[in-house]
Amino acid sequence: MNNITNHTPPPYLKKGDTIMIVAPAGFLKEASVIQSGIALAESWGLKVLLGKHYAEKFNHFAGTDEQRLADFQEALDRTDIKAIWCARGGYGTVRILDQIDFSNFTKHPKWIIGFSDITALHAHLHHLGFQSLHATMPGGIRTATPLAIDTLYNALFGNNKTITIPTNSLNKLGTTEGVLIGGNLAIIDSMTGSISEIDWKDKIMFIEEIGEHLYRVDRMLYSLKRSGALNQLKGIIVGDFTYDIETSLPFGGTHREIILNAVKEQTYPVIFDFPAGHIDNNVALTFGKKITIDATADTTLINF
Amino acid sequence: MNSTLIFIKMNTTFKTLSLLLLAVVFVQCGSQKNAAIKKFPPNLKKGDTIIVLSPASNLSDSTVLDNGIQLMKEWGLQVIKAPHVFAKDFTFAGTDAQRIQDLQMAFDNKNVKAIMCGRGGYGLNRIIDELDFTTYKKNPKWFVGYSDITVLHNEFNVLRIPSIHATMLAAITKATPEARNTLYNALFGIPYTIQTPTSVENKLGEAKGELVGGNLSLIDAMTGSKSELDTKGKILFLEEVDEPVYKVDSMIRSLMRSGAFEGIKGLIVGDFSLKESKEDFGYTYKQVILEALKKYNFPIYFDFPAGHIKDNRALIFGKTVHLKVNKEQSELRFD
Repeated sequence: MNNITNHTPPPYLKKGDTIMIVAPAGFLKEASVIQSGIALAESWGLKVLLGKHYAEKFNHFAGTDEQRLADFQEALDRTDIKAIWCARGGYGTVRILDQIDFSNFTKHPKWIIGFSDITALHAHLHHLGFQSLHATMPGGIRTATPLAIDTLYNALFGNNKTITIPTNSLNKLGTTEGVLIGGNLAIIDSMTGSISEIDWKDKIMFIEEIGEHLYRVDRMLYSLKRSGALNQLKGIIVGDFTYDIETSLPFGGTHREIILNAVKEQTYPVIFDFPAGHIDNNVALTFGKKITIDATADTTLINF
Repeated sequence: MNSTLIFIKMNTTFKTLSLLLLAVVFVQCGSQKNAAIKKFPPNLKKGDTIIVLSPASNLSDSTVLDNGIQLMKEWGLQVIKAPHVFAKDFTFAGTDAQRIQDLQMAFDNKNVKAIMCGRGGYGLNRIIDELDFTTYKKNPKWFVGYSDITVLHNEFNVLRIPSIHATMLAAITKATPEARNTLYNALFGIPYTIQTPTSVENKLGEAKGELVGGNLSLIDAMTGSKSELDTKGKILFLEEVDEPVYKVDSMIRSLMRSGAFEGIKGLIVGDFSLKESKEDFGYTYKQVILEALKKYNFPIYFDFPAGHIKDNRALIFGKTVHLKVNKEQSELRFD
């Protein structure tokens, strides 16, 4: 009963493989912002194709819903494309999610890479039973740290390594094992009740957030608690939370105290300040993969 | 779906029995959130006592309720202040425990004939599961508030208890005469109709159904919890404040993907006082709503006077209302 098993990993990349950059959500301010991403992938021996509409601009979006959907569907269906690297997040993935046909993907899975708004895709892929990659997008490579880049490479080429981070004094210590899934807190929360809702049983939940007031963070955590997510987990990894504490309603603490309050009845480990989210040191996380956490008073080890 | 497969393997007698059992289960599940409301709170009458409390954020100081309490006295009501109505705990009107204590006392005290909130803000989500509705369900009373109070409105609707979405006591004397009069009518059981010129974006049509709803963010936040609205066959009201348009788009789609718009009879869109976002979204909230819901045929009434505005007219949730969205005029009738 308690066998925790990996979701299906798409084939790892190898030199000579082709990947495609597509933009399913917000538009790129300039087409050139993804140049460092292209150069990086090429330095790894990959061929990089660009979705037809990757540089399109339609209101807030990288093209109309139809254009973004067409690009994503093409990248998903073409068997010569081994991975889809989302150009950036923003907002818009959920507008096309229900129109995407995953039937070819389930026969020939491939890595789908991104974070933030791309969480909608991660949730849906998790629901379908596949692994996916929460990592820096091409627009972020120019300023990404070596660790962000190395972990992205390692995850894509099947060479995941243990990550060791210093222990935050608020961490709830312990060891645990579970399948990693999560992403942007607001997007995770918005998937509740939908066909893309995550089954949280025996999962280790990763969350990150940007630009939300603390009261909203509190509300979203209570939503997850009330929908039954938090009491099914095996652990929580908290990434970067960026917000303006000055303009937030006073809460008598930070997002860390808010999270600890929401899980006060739980005994599983909670790890704060994991380097992932809207930061340059956005360490790659393989969603759908079984991981172990060993959180002690000195260091925290996360083993993929 | 799976049960169909199992049935194929069963013998006929057992199959019939199981189907019957299944039907009973379905009826019971449906009945909880969607059965007709049997018991309405008694209408107020002169001399009744009401209580004012703050279940979410704190009031700035102890004078902000003076004008509202004076108005209630003019309506012939006696007003008592809950023990922690002016309490402060960071952003909240007292600790979770203090706010629970005030609400529970107001629910259970037989001398209290109606409950009015001082203000909204944030905080009901944190305490809703700690409240005991046993006595309140047997002896419901009118509960008045909006915005964060949507959490309670939704829970009440699930429990089949009517409640009033209206302006709160700290703001009531700044509200329009229409906002005050509709609240008076709702509390004292006087039928009223809200009528406005039809907005060009409206989708015409008529509907009759039970009114439910509240603040979009909070309705969305209730999804997946025991307070989630069953909107089927009902008329849904939405209002929003301080969110950027892209968030409205995200929340409308989130509600749509959770099935909230399936089978509703009409949509009433109140005030949406939205926040500018860094990037121009390119659509207005009305376009967002019309585009997301284009596959549905129910009438949509935009610019309805309710929400975070002075002209915040009272809405009786749980009541069967008549909605008319005509070419010239649109109206919502509470009989």
